[in-house]
Amino acid sequence: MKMREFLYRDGILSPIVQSALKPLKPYHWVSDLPKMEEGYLDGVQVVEPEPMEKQLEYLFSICDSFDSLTKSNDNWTFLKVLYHSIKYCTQCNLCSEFCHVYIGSGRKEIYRPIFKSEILRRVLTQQIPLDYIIASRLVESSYRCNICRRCATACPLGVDNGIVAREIRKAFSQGLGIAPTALHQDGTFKQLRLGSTTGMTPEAFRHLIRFLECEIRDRSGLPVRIPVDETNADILLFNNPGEYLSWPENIQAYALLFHLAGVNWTLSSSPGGYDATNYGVFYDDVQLARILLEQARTIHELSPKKVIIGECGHAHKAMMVLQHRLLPSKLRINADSIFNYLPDLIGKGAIKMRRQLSPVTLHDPCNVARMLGITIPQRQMIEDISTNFVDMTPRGCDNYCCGGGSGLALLREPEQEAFRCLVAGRVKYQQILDALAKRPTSGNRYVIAPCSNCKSQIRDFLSFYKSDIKYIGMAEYVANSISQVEPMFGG
Amino acid sequence: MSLLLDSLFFTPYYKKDKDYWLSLMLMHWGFICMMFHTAVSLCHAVYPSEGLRSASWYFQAGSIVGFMGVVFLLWHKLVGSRLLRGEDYQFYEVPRRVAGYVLIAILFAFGTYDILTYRTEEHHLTFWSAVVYGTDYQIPTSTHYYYALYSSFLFYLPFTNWIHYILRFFQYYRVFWRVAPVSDSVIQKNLTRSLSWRGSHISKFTTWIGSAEHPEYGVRRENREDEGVPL
Repeated sequence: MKMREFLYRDGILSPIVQSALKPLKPYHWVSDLPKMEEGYLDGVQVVEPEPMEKQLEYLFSICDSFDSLTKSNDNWTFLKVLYHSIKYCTQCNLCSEFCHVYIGSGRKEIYRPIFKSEILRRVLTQQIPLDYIIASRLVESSYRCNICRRCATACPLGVDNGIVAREIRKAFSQGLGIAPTALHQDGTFKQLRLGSTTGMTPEAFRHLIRFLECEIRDRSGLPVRIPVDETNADILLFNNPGEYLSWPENIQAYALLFHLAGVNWTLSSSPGGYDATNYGVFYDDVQLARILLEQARTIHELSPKKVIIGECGHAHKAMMVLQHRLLPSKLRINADSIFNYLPDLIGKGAIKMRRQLSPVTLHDPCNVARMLGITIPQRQMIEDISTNFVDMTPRGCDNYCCGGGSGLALLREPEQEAFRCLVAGRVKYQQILDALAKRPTSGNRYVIAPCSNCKSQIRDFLSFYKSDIKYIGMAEYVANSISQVEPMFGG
Repeated sequence: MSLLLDSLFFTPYYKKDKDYWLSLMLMHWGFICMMFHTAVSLCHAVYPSEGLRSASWYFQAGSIVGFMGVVFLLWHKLVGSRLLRGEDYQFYEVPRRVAGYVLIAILFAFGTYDILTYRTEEHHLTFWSAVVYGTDYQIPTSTHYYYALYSSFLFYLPFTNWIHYILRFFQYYRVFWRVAPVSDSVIQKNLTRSLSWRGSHISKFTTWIGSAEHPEYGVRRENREDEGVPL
């Protein structure tokens, strides 16, 4: 069957993204169509737009976007990788078996890593004419990829189909303003406007921290402080705001650990200083640069000796890799990972630890493991404090994505959640089950999910599959091993 | 060293797909033998020796090996993947790429025909000797076609994936592990580039730096409306 015929078949894409892919501004004929306003940009209920002139106008805009994607001025950020991946793929399909979405879907063609790349390749090389259906299915399929880049590690030629997915998203966002609301309007725009993607203002943040400080003092019986906006601290902890709101025990655990270790640390309450997320990483270079710039300037105002990136995978990517390609040296931040810092701190012996008996396994966030190669320190630390640690297979740089990567965990539509749990998260859940099956127990079994995005996704699929396995952050797990206080952080 | 071995023996493919690896190995080593054959024949033209003559004969076998490889590769991509695994790789093939494989198959077919029909290396040595010394030569018509295709392919070789695969040996660290920060001058140059994206949040800006720094989108504290809003 020819690709074009395949793309035109009804029902190849289930209605998963829907309202997540609402056009963000009135765009030509799109906003004139009732079904478009309901958010249909997937391939199931495609309506032939009328009149034809408007359809053509819209298609010209898409063509312009793809044109910009191939210009060095418009796409100096990723053009080289995109060009490489488009040009040199030999369609050997070795990457397919490395893709958790493809495997999790029961090996459906549309989830094959090269599927979207091949459509884009044929559109760019004018082997298939671009029309509304092709464009809709292209953008849809780009949001069915976690951009975990495991496929890129499998490719002998270094072709990166994850980047291709990201570039497709970028073309639609930067060229037409089309991106999931959760990432764009409720994500990057909200962060730039309010200081955080959660909508938490600086004042709210300070109130929250004061509350968390009181609570951790009560629970631990220790005079724990959570310093905010202190200049010239040794470290500034730069965390995902999801931790403050959804998993506040995470910051309490860090406060407890840093207090006992005598660390001179601080948090920032300035806009751009208390939210380490940067959803631009997932879909839009301009938004990525704006947020990165904002964060860098805010952090420089506090002059910390070092910035420690908390348990957030894509913040690692933005602050430890991308800033070196986008920011001038005077704005760059001396950033390190909590995955390096915390094991060092525990290894120094400043905090007395006891060993935990519950079976535990560790998930490696893609942006920390595959992107930065940090896989050993956190593993050694957990092996030291647990008598019952069991690793997943595969692990480290070869680890499978949780299924919520590249912002998919933020898309909360029911269909999207079903996709994440049933398809994208299936392989990871199987990995966790397999790992912990080696350690049968009647007590608690834990999976450490040291990234907000992963934590959210793992929470969702553990609940979806009605599993008794508990998820926990890295700091909470380590803090539960402190011998001076009773374990206080639940999974 | 492992990159070099990967480039020569395609080990990443061996680990992941043995059928595909076998076809790649046969096809590419067919080429390698063809090129060795050329090199040996040229050397023989300059310094004739019995060793080079017999080496030239053996390297001709590259055509047979390559022909088997490319036929197997085409079969694997167009038919075998579906028969053996139920996976439709044909779906991803386009006529242009298939035509490339077919041309390569024709090249190897001429070489194979040449070996099986004439069973000698003599006319090849005569040809290369004539190339070196500019003398007249007599070779069979099929060998003419073979060399015409072969010379065309040598010009095309730098643009193939194979060369890309080998060049990665030199570019690997630059492409994948370039951890050194980009210099200020390069970043400044990039930031002052013009942009033509039409998204509503970008379209009013003409440069990257203008887009990133504009107060409306790079919100400073003094520009924020929501700061200080009590709970």
